[in-house]
Amino acid sequence: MNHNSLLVTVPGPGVHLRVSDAGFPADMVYVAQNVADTCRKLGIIPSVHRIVGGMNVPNPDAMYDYFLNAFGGLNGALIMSGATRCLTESGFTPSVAEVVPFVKKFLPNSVTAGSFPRTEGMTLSGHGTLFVGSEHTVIPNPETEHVVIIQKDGNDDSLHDQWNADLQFYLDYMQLLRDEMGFVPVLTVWEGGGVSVKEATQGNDRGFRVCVAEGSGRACNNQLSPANFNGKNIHHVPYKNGTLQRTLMQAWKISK
Amino acid sequence: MNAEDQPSSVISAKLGNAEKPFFVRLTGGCGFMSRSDGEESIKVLLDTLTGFNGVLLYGGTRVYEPSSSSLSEFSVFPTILEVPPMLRKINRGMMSFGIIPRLTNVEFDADLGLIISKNDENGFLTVIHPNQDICLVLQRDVDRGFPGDKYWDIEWRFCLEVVKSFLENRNNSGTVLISYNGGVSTGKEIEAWANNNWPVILFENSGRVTTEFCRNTEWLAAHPSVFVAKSSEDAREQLTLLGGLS
Repeated sequence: MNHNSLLVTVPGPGVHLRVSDAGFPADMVYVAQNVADTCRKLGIIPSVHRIVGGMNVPNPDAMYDYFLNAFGGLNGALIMSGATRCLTESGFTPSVAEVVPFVKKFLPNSVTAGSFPRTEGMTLSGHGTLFVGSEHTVIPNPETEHVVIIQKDGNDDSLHDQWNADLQFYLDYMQLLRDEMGFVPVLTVWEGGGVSVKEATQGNDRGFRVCVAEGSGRACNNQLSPANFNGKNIHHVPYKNGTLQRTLMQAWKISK
Repeated sequence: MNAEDQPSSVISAKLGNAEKPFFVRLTGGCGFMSRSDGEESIKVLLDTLTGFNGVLLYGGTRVYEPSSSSLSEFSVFPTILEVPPMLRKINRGMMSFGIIPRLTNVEFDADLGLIISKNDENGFLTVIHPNQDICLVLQRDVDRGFPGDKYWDIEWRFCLEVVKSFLENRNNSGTVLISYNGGVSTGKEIEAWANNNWPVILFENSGRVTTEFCRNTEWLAAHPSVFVAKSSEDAREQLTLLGGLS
């Protein structure tokens, strides 16, 4: 089977958009090596984070407050999410994918990235906006530096409704950075649904650190609660106490 | 891996273990050289690259010559392909990365290793070099190699993709093509690098296609990224200017 990746945009400032049928391309490893260089200078261990959770969270202020406190010392990490933005008439939906551009504002040395599967044909508006789907509500997040779109084939819509079709690939990427380059992989879950539970469970199975914002809603209050989801790499952090996650990450030597 | 696959993420990650984000691609001649020419090429290139602590991309093979008395006894024939493994012993921060097109089905020989090519006329054998950090064998698919000499081009084309991805995405990175001797494929590779305006060092008196480029003043004037080295000292100086040596 031949695997191909395509850098859609040219290298330089702005979003680097890549399309791949087989996971994260080698380009993204070089991006991680740049992160490792920064961490070396800062005297911390490089880390790769995936922010996991809901695409329309009911309590965005609490979410942003949590990540402001939890990620405050991560100025040099690779921070990833779903890399989409859901547009509304007045702006965009508060989702965990928006945490990435949010934290980038106070972590200028960190690098932001993300992935999503092409679940249906993408469309261009008359103004040139690229939409993820036909309803003209979801776009690649323009405030994420590196975006990987997973599509099996340009003519194949078999990923329809499979919003977790990139899951294996980004977990593979995080594992590669750990196994070959010494990165510490961390998943942080805020609220979330069925896909978030899969992400947390599979991440834990690979030995990643998983931080669950306890009390943030839905999956974090149920399937991922301490009673249902526990282990040596699983850390339940009260959703009003992001500082505790920062303390944990300082102990792992990945955060200042 | 299959030749049309995207560059491997695993290999890119392993290459990150080199001390310096700098790729040297070593290309040039292995055939049509006498034993003494081969020994000279090794000496010149060792002198040039001692102290280099980046990634060295090269052909990843070793050539065996049959003894004159018996076609079943072989000795290592000196070529530039012996340079990276020798450097690896003295340059602690360096990584060697061999790229090999699979031209036939690979044969295993208990004494010589994995044979990838046999020359029926002179009895020379080419094997996968046993001493390298990373080795990548390119093939069309699991059942098909690249039959015929014209497919040696696959190697340098793949290297070009690897270097392009590296330069575009890795901060503070650098690269240079170093060419010594060589034939048709080497000539195409030199052209490709020069047309990209990527740095090239040509050894003036190394012979064949590399020397032809060195004598082509019109071509040199049109390709300012190409440097002609008369000696290993010249080449070291240029490599230092490019950031490949500290």
